[in-house]
Amino acid sequence: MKRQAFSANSISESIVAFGQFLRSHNMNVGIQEMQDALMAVRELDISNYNTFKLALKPLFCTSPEDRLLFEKLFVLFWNTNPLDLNEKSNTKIQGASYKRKPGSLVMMGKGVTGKQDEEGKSVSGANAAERLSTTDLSRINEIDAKQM
Amino acid sequence: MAVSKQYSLSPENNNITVSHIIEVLDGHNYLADEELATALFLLLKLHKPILLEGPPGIGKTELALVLSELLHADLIRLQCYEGLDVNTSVYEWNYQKQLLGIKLQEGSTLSIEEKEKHIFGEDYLLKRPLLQAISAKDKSPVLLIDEIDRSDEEFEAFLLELLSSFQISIPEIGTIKAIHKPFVVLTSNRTRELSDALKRRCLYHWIDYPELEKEVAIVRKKLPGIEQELLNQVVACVQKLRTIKLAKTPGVSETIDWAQSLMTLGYREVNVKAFDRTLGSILKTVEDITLVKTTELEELLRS
Repeated sequence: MKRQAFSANSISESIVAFGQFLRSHNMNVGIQEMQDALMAVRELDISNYNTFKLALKPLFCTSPEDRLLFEKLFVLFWNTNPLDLNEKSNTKIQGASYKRKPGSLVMMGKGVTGKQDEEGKSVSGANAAERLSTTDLSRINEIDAKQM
Repeated sequence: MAVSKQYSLSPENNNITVSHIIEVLDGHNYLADEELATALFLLLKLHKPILLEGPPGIGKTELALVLSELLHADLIRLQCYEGLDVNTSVYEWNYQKQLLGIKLQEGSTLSIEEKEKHIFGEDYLLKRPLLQAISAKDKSPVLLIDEIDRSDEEFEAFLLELLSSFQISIPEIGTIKAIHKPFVVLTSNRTRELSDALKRRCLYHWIDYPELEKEVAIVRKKLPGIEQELLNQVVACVQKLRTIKLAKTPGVSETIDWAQSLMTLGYREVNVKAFDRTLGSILKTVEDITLVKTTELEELLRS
């Protein structure tokens, strides 16, 4: 079972948690790197998944080996489905199809409406549009189809 | 070289984007991917030094040159080597001038302290690249510290103060702090591991050998007159050469040199004769030449 590595309420907390997550995997990430990361994300459009990743990469990596590890850990940390944590009681499930493919991005939500924001919070940030884009509609089951 | 405004950057401009950086680099014949452009964006915005690591001949130094052009900034270059010390990299006292200064002051009424202060003033200081970089008066220069892996660990340790605080301490004068922080680019061929302390003061980016398509595009940018067939053959050959265990693996600069040699000699395709006449552009040791000619040439030309 995948483990969610953090529980955070803001993007800043999430980045700090991500830094700690990297550190726990023997990457040399200190306070200075985290501060730089927080400053870097202020300068860039982090609603773009790739831009966000590329902004953190030169700050948290110091060798080619680190870069390879970073790629893996980034996906593991930011793409882990919070539902895997057995925290279903605290989480409103917006759509059963969401459960099938982990892909919610915690940092998403920039530039969306308040309603989408609110909805996003209940599933760690992913909004309907984002979940829909990660849902394979060809594999939806009967119950889900009825609900939709 | 005159640079059009379209292909220039101003770090103070809040509208700079990663795609804009890719575009201006392209305007300076430097093909950068999004990852490198993002690292450069952070260099400009956070004013944090960038460490570029990778094999030789893939455009690390070139990037610093291009950066200075597109920022319209001075490029101050420090080429590192074993034994590089403070006298060569930071400052040196101009002893002849100091002696002359002492002689001229012999008849003056100044106290010894005042005389000493005078001959250890900025007028008697010979500024070397690092000090030049932090004493820039008008705008931030680009400081290129090239092949840092060639220098000694002592020098690397000395750099720490400069890279984190942009200041240099001179015992006789005090601490000189940069008014305009330089944009620092460090390059390393990774012949030795750099210290963690140094790396942590820098943004890190690894530049590897480019994929075939990207290398074709790079050579075309540099040699716009090259025929497509020749270009494809040259790049395919070099890509193949990189899979062989050579003493000196050819970089992109060797690919460009080789293509240029072939064009200069009027070849429109790579054949045995053309390879024989130009192999010095691409292979740099006798062992590599012997190896390729005896065992790999046929396969290479077929590729």
